[in-house]
Amino acid sequence: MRLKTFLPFLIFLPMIIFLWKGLRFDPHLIPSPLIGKPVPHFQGKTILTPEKNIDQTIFLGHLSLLSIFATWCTTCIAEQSALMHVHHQFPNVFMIGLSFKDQKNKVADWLKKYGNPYRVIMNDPNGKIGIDFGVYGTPESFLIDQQGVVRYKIVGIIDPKNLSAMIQKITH
Amino acid sequence: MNKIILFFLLFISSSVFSADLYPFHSLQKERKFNALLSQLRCLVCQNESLSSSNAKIANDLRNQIYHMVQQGKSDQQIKQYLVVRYGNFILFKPPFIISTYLLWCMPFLMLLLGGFIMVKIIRKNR
Repeated sequence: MRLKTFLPFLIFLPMIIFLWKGLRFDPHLIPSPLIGKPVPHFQGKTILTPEKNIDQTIFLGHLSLLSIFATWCTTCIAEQSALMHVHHQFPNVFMIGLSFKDQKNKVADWLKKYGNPYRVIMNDPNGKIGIDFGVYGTPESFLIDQQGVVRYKIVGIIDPKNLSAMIQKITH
Repeated sequence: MNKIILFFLLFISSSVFSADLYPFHSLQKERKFNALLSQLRCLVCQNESLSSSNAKIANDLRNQIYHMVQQGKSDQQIKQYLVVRYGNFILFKPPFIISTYLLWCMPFLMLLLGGFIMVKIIRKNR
């Protein structure tokens, strides 16, 4: 008799918990299938002269932060100051930029204006390398370990505090 | 009469527009291309398919899929290419794997549960 009165509540409560958790998810933060896998193979060139050839071996031997950016992306301007901060705070992190669907001359000027934390900047004018990394909206960043395995993907502006925690997890 | 002609013309002009952007010599490839696009989700405008979305990423992926269809790749190969890079979320129809068993089976389970409760109530009222 007592169980029957509480039965609707017992069904309702887990449903509410499920739905509440569901509301907290951001559907635009799509989990990347690249996590835990080696960096995808690609071939490209650096954007600043003199042009050099680059492929996925650029990620080996050091902890890397790959940052996908574009001069046409307004959020990237805000992220650039966070990246300059990261550059100073973590000098051991090899920062690599991917210029996504952009024009060379615009990129050089943009970097002079907003800061250039990158050791290497790859040119991806048609977005092919971006697609290989599963990029759907700039700015996006990947934290890649010394063996070239993708460990984290960050969609949106990097929070240096969160990044610090991620780096700690990788290096220990 | 003029209104009917105008209405008809609107439909013709929209199909010519898309044929110019992604021209195919084979009708079969064109149908395959259009069918594929409608099965794939735009990751930015997430309720839209790649065929209707105006987002930058949708445009880039349409171009990529167009080239792959021209190269003769199969539906399976093209979907696999996208899933490897973007995950299962890009497919409107999720695969039937462990993590989606509940998603797929829930409607049937709910129907069974509802049916069970209904039978109980009917029996009780007799």
